Amino acid sequence: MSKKFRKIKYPEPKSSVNHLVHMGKDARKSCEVLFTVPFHDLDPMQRVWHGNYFKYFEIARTALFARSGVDLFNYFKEKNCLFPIIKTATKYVASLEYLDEFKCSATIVEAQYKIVVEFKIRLTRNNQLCAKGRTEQVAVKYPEKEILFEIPRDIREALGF
Amino acid sequence: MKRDEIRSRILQIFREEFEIKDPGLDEDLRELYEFDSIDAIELLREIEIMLGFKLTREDKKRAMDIRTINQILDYIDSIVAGRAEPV
Repeated sequence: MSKKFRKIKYPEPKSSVNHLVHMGKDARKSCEVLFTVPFHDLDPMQRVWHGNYFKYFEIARTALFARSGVDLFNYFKEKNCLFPIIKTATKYVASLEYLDEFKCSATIVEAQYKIVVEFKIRLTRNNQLCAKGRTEQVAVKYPEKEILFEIPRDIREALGF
Repeated sequence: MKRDEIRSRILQIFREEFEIKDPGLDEDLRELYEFDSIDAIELLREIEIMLGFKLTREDKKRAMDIRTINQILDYIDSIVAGRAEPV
């Protein structure tokens, strides 16, 4: 590979002291990832386009699961079980602009019947809340596409539920 | 729990959780109110909380064909009857 092409690295998950306080001592339940708004995430009004927040949520959620040793794609390959998103909600409190540095926290609030993760996006410089979000996932057996009604025990326990 | 009590609790769940206000007892919830399989999973969870015990996977699978409030009430009756101690 040419030296011109640097490998893209996702930001390392960074723990948040605030969240650890909120969540008691269970660090598995919350995780924070730092970002800088890239040019290609902006809309014509120079704000982050609303759909891009889902990508930030996804990266924070993946980091949260990784911290508990959970990789849902590997799990799909090994156990033929999918975890599709079934519901999302986002509240956009303040806009994000080009090169804003922000942190996206992901906190798991339920993993028994469905996996529910809540997100908060805050500016790094003044901690202003910019967005709040929530995603819900269920377990589905593949290729039957049969809803499993509860999250498999190994995943549930790894996530602390 | 009597059927009347269960009915009013179920209607309360529909009102609060699914924003479906007083559906007819034999109305098709999927056709008229777009009640879907995702809603069904959440309803089953509420039924578990109401009954105070977990439903088996077979019971839950059986519930996926339900279409009306009356069918939900019959379903809960059958689950409770199945759990009753034989004399």
